[in-house]
Amino acid sequence: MRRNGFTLVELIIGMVITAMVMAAMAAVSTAVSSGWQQADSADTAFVTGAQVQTRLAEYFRPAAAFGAVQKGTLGSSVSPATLFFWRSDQTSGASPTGDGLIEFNEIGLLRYDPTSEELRYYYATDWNSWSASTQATANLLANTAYINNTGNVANFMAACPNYRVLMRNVKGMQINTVTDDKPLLEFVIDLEDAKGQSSVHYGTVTLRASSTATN
Amino acid sequence: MVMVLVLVALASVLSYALLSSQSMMMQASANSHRAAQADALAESGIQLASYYLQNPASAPVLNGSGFYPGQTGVSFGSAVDGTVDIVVTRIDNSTFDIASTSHYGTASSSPLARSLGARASVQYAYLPTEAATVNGGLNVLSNTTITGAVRANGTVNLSLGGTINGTIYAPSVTGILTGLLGSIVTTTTSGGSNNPTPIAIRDYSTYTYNGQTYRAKLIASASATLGATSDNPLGVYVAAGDLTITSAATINGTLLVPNGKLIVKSSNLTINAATNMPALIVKSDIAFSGNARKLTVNGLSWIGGVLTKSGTTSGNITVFNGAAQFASGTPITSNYSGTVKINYDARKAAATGFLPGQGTTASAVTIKTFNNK
Repeated sequence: MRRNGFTLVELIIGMVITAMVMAAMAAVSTAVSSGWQQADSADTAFVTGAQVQTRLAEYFRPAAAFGAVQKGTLGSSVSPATLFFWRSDQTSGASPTGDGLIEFNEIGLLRYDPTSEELRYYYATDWNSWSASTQATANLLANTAYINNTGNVANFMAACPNYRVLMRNVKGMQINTVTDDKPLLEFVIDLEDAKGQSSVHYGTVTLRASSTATN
Repeated sequence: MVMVLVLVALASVLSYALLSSQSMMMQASANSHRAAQADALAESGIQLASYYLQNPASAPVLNGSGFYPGQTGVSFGSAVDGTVDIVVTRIDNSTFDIASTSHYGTASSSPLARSLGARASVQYAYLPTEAATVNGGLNVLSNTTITGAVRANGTVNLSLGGTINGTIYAPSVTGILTGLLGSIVTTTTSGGSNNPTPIAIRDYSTYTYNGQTYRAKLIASASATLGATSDNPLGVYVAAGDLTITSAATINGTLLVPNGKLIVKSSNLTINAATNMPALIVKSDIAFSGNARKLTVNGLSWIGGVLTKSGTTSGNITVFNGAAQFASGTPITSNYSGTVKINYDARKAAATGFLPGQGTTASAVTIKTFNNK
C-alpha cells in the first residue's frame, strides 16, 4: 500500500538543503549589501567632493587677493582655519576696471567654526544699509595691512555678524595659500555625511582675477 | 509554492531597490561630472575671447570696431561635447566685458548650461611700421644698410655704398639711388606734430608687471650679463647720467639712459628686449670710443641724439634689429666710423605704452573681474 508524505530522512535532507540554500543566499545578500554600501559611500564622497570644490570655487575664483591665513589642522580645534581675502575690486562707471583700492565691503573672511562644525563666510552682507558715515569710517580701516593681520579677525566678525554658512558637518579643515603669479587656495576638508561617515576632500581654487591693491 | 513566490517577490523588490538606488547614484555622479564639464567649457569661452581680443588677426570674425564680438555655438572640436556662446561688449577703449554660456551635452541628454562672465582690460602696444624714422633729414652713408621702410620729414640722402631695401617716405630723396632697392613715396610732412618719431615717450623707469609695480635698477656700468631679477622681472636698467660701457656685456631687458649719452667702449654690447618692451632709450647721443666697438640692439630703440664718436674711433658696428627711431635729424653722422645695419622686425619692435595713451596692437589681456552668473 502506497503512503502519502515524506519519510523523516527525506524531510531532514530537504531541510538541510533548504538551510544550505538559505545560508548561501544570506551570504550573497550580505556581500551585495556590503558592496552596495561601499559603492554608495564612494559615490557620495565623489559627489560631495565635487560639491565642495564647486562651492569654494564659487567664492574664490573671483577673488582678487589673499590676506592673512591661519592654516588650521584637521585634528584640532585650536587656531581653526581662517582666511582674509579681497573678494574682488568692484567696478563702476568711473572705474570700469576697479579703483585698485580695498574697500570694506570688498573684504571677505573664510572661517571654520569648530564648535558649530560650520564653514562660515563673513562679509558686509548689509553694506547698503550702512550709513554713509559708517561706510566711510569702515573704508578708512580697509587696506592691505588690515586683511594681512589676523588680529583683525574678531573685529571683522563683529562688524559683519550676518555670515553665510558654506558647509555644515565639517569635522575639520586645513587651508594654505600660494601667492605667486597664479595665486591659489589649497584646502583639505573633513566632512561627515548623514550616516555619520567621514570623508576627507582635497582641492584647489585658482584666483582668476588676481590683483594687487594700491592701498 | 506560496513560500517560493514570496521569496521571489522579496528578491525582486530588493533587486529593484538596489538597482534604483545605484541608478540614482550614477545619475548624481554623472550630473556632477556634467556640471564640472559645463563650467570648464564656459571658462574656455572666456579664455578664447581673451585670446581673440589680444590677437584679433586670429579671430574668425571681427566687428566694425575691429574687435571680436563673440559668436554662438562655438565648438572646441569633436572630442569636446557641447558648445559655448560668447558675447564680447566694449566698455571703453581698452575694457571689455565677456559673457560665456556653455551648453554641455547633446540635445537628447538635456544640455546643461553654465554662464560665466569676466571684465578684461586690453593693453595695447605701440608697433612702428618702419625700420627707421627720423625727425629731420637722413644721410645714408656708405656701410649703412636699412632693411625695411624709412620715414623722415627731411631729405633722405643716399651715399655710394648706402642701401635702403624698402620704401622711403620723405619730402625728397637725393644722392646716389643705386642703393635704393625699394620705392619712394614723396610726403609733404614737416616738423611739429607730424614728426615721424615721437618726442614724448613713456618713462619706463617704473613699470607694471603681473599687476605689480617695479622700478628700474640703477647702473653705473655693465659687464657680463644683466637680466631679469625678482625685483626687476623685465630687466629694466637705468643710468643716472651718461653711461659708459667698457666691457663686453649683454642686457636681457631694457637699457634706459634718460639724462645723457650712451658711450660704447665695449667690444660687444648686446641688448635683448623682453617681449613688448623697448630695448634702448637714450636721451642724447650714442657715442663710440676706441676701435671695433659693437652695439647690437634687438628690440625697439629710441635715440634722442645721433650716432657719433667720443674721441678716436674706427671700425664700429651698430645693429638695430626691430626698429630704430631718431628724434634728431641726420642721426648717422660723419663722425661715426663703421657700419650701421637697421633691420625691421615686427616681432621685436612692439612696446607696450611707448606712446602714452596710444597703441596699435594688443599686447596683453588682463582679467580684472571674474563673475559666476
